[in-house]
Amino acid sequence: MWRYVLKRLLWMIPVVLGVTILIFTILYFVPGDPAQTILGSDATPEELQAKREELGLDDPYFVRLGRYLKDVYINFDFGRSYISNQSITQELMARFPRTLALCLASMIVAMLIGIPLGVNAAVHQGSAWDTISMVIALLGVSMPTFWVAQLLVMLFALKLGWLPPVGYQNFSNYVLPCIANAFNGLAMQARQMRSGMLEVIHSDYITTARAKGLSERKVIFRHALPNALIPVVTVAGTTFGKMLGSTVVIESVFSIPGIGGYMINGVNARDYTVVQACVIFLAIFFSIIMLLVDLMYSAIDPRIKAQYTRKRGRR
Amino acid sequence: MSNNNVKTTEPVVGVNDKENINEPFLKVEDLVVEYTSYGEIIHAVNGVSLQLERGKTLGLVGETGAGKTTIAKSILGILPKFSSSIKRGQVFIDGQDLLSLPEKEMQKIRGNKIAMIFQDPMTALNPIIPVGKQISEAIQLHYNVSAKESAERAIEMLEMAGITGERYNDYPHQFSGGMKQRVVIAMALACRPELLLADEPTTALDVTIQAQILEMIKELRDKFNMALILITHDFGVVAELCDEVAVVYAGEIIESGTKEDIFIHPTHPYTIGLFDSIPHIDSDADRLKPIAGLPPNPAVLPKGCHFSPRCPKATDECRDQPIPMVETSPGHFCRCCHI
Amino acid sequence: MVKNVHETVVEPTTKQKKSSLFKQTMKRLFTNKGAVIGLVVFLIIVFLSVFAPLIAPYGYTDMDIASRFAAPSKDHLFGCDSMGRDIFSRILYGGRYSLQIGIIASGCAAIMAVFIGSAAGYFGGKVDNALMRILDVIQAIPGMLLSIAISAVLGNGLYETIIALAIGNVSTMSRILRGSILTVRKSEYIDAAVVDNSSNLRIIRKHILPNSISPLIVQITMGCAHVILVAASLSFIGLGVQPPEPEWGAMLSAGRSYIRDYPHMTLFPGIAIMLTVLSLNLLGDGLRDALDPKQKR
Repeated sequence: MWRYVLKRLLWMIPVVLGVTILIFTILYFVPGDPAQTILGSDATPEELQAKREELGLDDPYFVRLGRYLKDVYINFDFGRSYISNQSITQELMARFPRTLALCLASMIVAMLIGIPLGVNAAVHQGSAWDTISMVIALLGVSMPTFWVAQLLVMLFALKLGWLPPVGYQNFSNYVLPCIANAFNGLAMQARQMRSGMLEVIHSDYITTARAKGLSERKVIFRHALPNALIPVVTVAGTTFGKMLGSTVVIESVFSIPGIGGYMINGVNARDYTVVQACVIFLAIFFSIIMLLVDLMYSAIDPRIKAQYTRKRGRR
Repeated sequence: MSNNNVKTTEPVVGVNDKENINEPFLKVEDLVVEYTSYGEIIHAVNGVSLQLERGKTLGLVGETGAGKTTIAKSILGILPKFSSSIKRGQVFIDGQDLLSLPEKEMQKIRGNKIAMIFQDPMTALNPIIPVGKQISEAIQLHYNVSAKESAERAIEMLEMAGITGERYNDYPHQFSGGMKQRVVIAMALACRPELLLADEPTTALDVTIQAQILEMIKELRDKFNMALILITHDFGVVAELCDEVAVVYAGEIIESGTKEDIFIHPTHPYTIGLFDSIPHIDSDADRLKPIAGLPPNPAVLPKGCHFSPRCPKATDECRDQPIPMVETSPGHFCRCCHI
Repeated sequence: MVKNVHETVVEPTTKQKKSSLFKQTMKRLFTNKGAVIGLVVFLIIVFLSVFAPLIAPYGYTDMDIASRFAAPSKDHLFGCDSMGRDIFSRILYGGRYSLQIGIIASGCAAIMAVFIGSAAGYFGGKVDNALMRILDVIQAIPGMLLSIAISAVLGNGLYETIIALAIGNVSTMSRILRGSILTVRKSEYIDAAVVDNSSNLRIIRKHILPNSISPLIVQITMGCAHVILVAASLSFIGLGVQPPEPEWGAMLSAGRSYIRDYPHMTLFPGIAIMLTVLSLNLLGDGLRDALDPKQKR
């Protein structure tokens, strides 16, 4: 098992470096002159040239890439914003807890609702329950997350006045963003859970379990569910990635000053060092989540574990 | 009786000795099962009746899709609920009608009084539960024993099936096909069933392993005095193990009798056709005589004899009405009007 | 006695079988209520968008100051926006953007995926390893963030957005196709084709792709739905297609400031997105079930 953890951890290094290089390269081709952005339109050519030299903008691509990698991974410094000249690392750290809280809470809500919804639909295949759950799930994967957020704001904040429409200081501020963000995820989980469960329910070993005389409850919870969860765990990683993406927009709808909001401000102000830092930071965070998902996956499925352990399947 | 383990969960059927002596141990009466698939009704089993005594073996022989497995699953009550239904018929064990039992009572019988071995050992075991646990689970369920004791018994069962007890904690993917089938058999026999349903237990295995597994089933049957229903399409297996044989075609038994009746005096044209399509090493015929055509679509069965479209002897009489079973010699039945 | 077993290697793509397979799939698709509804709704949306100039009661830039923020009425079915433009007409025109983006981006992604996926799946070994590691890196970036980064570089506009979203979808599709090819690759009829001395390209084209493409077809449908959603998000945050173009996400973005008093500006463009995506998802679900009949009965 430890071999697997170690191997998986080591593999993260090239992935994270690759992500950094990829994003740096994409944004390297961004049009416009950062020096101009920083100094404004009334700067003289001499001032611009001096600024470019200060930032090392005239250096070749590889020199700049190397410098960026060194700054990020050795000095843990994402540089400074072109616009506000503030340290991006500090800003990211200040904002990250809010984004993290929103993402994790949404993910937990999505799993707590989505998985039972899917299991129930599969177990009662063809019933009214099944139909209702699947219609909800279908709506969930079909509605843009930010639009769900807007609808929720219209109903619960503006019309009923139960919850605040914007803000970030209190727990109540996170209820609507969390529901909005979780809706798509729970729908994905429910759909995956249902189809996975149906596949498992029709498999031979479930018939074996029934033939043993187990009650339907035990057949479902002891034999079918753990097997059906395996693909759901994989999808949970993907779902989390999508949620991370939609968080960016959700934060903007609810004016939550998280990393997403920071990134959108960066995009709108053409402050690409900020955009670059946000994308890389979130991608690293996502890689860590995927690592955890993979480890969870191998804990559930002995076949995966077996590939990495020498000993025969003893725990 | 071999069943000397005291079962604390007493089966509802009660004590066997009290039952009518003339009642056979297992009796299936006029069983009709249908499936629905994409709006079509599939007539899988159409009025099957059969009987079996303790210690005896009945072979159900027929082509794939003839309804053999469905018969076994109906007896055990594990047909898929969503897509199938038993339309008619009764299944008696010791005089008690299983089909009218509530699900809760049926669960006490499944895996306990009646057990089943499945066709494909590769998929019959739960991939993420250690095999020993899968066996002890049934023991714990039907006998009121501690986890430790059920584990000990599971190890005993594994060893009886020729697997060392230390593999208790191994997962199915660590076993070969033949070994998995041994596990499946150990699991089925864990609660000393009185009736064992073996659904093509050797089809998925190599020939040498087949022989081992058959030998083992035979030994255990005699040891526990079980009634055994053996589903197969292989006459070699039938010759090896069975006392009685029922030939199934399109959801009907078309011929039944003792092994000798069927092997020496096959009567139904289909049975004769089956024997003719087996190669004999001592025969001087150049080619086999396969049965022409294909089994009928179970959604649209022929009106009269289901075999009539493929039968060389078929006449208008065959095609018009259902054919009754005729007793050709004591205990030998055949569903054909041209005997 | 010997068992009489004949194992023959049959490939499921001789000409005649292919057409019957296609027919069967279509038959199953059309017995699926959801899929039929999805297809019909999608075709209606395509029709409305294509013939928007004929159907729309107003032009999408026609301003009428008098009816600023007009609530839905007979004259303005979905009401008017902050500049007095008819929202119904704008939604009809807007469909052109969403559909173009969805169809072209997922189509392009699929074409790229065919190359990457078949190279990886068919050749295996080092080629597979290298390609998969590259995809690992790309997939480590959540799709939405990658699309944001790419559209930041390319700038705003229809074709820029299409490219950004197509790239964002290549990795998922390649992986799906590769997985499907890996299963087909093991089949004996592929070995038979190799023994026949067919060229690699021919084997891929004639034997592998026809037998492994169905998961990709499902993914194109679902991917199209996904792309439409992401495109709307991009426009909403100020990337992608921008006002005054009547892109649905951009319209929602414009409605943000007036959400308290004029909810119709937020409601109707959202419903348009939802219906389009919903129809594609229904169709995709139906296709998946029709192409994989063994899973459900």
